Amino acid sequence: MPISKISFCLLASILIIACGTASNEEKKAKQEEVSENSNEGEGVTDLKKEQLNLLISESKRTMDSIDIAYKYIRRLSPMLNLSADDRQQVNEALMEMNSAKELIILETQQVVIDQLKEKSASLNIIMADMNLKSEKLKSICATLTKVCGMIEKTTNVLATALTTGLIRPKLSTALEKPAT
Amino acid sequence: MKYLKTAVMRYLIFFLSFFYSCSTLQNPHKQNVKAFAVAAKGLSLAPGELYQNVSDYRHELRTIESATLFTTDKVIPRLNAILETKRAFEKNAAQVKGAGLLIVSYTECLLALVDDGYYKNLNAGSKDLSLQLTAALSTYNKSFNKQLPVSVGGFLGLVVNQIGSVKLKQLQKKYLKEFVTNGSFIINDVCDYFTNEMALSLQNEMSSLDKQFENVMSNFYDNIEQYQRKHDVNPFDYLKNYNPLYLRLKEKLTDLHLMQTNTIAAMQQVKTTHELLKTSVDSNLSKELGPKLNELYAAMQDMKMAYLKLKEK
Repeated sequence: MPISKISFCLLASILIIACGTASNEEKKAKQEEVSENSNEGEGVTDLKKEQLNLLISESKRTMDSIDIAYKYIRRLSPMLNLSADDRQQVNEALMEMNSAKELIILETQQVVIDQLKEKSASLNIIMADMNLKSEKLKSICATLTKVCGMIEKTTNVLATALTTGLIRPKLSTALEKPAT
Repeated sequence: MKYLKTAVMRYLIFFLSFFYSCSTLQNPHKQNVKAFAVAAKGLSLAPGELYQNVSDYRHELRTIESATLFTTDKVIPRLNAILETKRAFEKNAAQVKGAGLLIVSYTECLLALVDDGYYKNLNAGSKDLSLQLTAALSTYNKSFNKQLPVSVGGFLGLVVNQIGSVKLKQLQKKYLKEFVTNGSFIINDVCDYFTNEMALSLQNEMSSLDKQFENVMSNFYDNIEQYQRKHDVNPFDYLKNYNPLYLRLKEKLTDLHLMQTNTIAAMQQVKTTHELLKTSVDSNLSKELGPKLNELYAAMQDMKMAYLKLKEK
């Protein structure tokens, strides 16, 4: 029985190392992805898309392998009648496998988000332009209000002058004149 | 002569009204833009919320998983590690939220462009002007016993008001058209990214989460069983607490899947509705836009309800 325990622990270790290697491969793939991100243009966009799809499918494949290993160890361990300490060790190994999976997910997320940020940043340029135009609208509105105010003041002066009889416009004589 | 003046005034009013109706933003347009902006604003935050909820769920699984360790030298480092992982996932969720907020800012710009506030002050000013002119003419007529047409004051006010408003509204329409056309490329690009690449990545992540849930919970139950066998305790004492936990997490996972599907569908709807809005601003056609806006609004309400439901769990 102790031999099978040792072989079990060995198997678990090999699987964990395999997970680590897989996540290193993911890291490399991510680094390649990021280095490509610096380029621009249509062709580059397609290339990025392709690389992202490749990264997603590769990460899926790796995570599926980890899941298979996890299930194998989990099913096998109760049969070995392990002590509490040994069991804790197995639990720790299983947690490491889940952590490796989460690391892959985190890195894939990062690549996806970087590309999303690139795309949404273009919106900033458009919005800066529209903010300028919005300011222009406000300034036109202010000018028109100013003109309105000036006309209003002139009208007040005219109204006062008309009421007090200071001025008598020729408009009345023009209206009274017969059309020729 | 008097007849000629009245006729000229009538033509002027007609011309202004015609000019106004042809080249400026109409109320239904404004309502459409506002309705789109409000619904799209609500939906743009959905992807970030989804990432945050998935991150919270992962943290719950990690916490349950950590309960299978029992020695202090293992438990404490593990708890510290899961906190770091939680932060890393939350950072990503915040970045997705940030990208969504940019769409929110875009919709706010749309709202600002159709704002009535630009010519509200102008309207108030010209109304005062019209009243004052009318009052001045009435006073003149009374004082000098003359019959100048009192409507001249109102007419002058109307001209100032209309010219000012038309100018502003024309600019509003021009800028809105420009904005929606330019924004369309980006909105399409961002929404396509959400519905294609990001959807694929999310699908992969959610499928892995399903397996992780199954693995973590099974291993957790294995450990309980081993403990129970060794100590010969009544399983009910444990399972009465753990079974509801399992059920809650299982149900929450189903909700997260539903939310993922709805979020992707909502981003697709934002794109389609924005395209229709662009066509509507271009050609004054808005027959298809109305029902589409209703759908978008309903999607936003559904999403809000789904998030509330998830928060309760």
